[in-house]
Amino acid sequence: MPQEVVAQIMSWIFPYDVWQFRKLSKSFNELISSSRFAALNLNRFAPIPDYSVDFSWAPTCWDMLSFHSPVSYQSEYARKNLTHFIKLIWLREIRAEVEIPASWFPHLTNLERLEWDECSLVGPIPEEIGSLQVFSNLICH
Amino acid sequence: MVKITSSDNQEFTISKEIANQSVLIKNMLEDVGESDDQPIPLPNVSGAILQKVIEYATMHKDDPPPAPEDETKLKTSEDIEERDKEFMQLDQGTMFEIILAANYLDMKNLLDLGCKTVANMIKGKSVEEVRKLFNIVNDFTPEEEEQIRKENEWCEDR
Repeated sequence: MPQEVVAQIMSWIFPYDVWQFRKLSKSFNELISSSRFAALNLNRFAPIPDYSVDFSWAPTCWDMLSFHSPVSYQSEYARKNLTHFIKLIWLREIRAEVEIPASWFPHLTNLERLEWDECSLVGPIPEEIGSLQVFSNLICH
Repeated sequence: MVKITSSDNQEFTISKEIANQSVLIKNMLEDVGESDDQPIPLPNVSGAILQKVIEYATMHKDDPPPAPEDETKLKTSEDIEERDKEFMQLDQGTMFEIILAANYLDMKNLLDLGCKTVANMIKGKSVEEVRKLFNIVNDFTPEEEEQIRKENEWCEDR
């Protein structure tokens, strides 16, 4: 079976569930970890955002899923679902101890304000944050 | 009418509306023009599989074109029409050959149907079960396997 067709098949399996199939073999691992596959898979499942709303007061369950995703999924998700946001103001919303998803930041090209107050983020603040055009506020506890 | 021949030299005569469901054949017909009545060779598809593909295309020849809003609507592998489900009641080898043929002939609906059907067979199964089902050889070293297991830990413990 050509990789392209295998990708088509696996893309119909929900992101969470499909990741465990990286363990099938080397070629499956390579396929499921690739950005192209992430884009294909997210296209099937992730909702299309309302691009006219440019601020977010609370993360959606897909935003939260992205915190836990492999890097390829984080960037593809941010590219499609987060790029239009000017403000991400999530107060006390992130409960699980998760790392700041560094691979989001190259895609948050419109972001002016990021407030994740009292969120239980762990890990270093990614260098990519520095590349934001206007950046004012990140408070983590 | 359009003539096509399979890899094992079986010839089929099909109507244009059926032929046009394959983007590959549609493009070929446009390239050669109306006048040419030479059969179109399809060296990647056997007669038995082509027969099934034509059966599918005949079943769907009167389908309305997809509405534009369908493109943005999220589709799941569960929404398969009853008649398509019945069509896909095949042995695994034939099913895979139909998927490959749909990919080669560029028939999006049939390709999606085949892929969804196989995805539904995989869903809910363990890695070991899926390996067995499709004869997938585990070619990881124990170290590599352990590495992936670690990376996946969070999603398995949920």
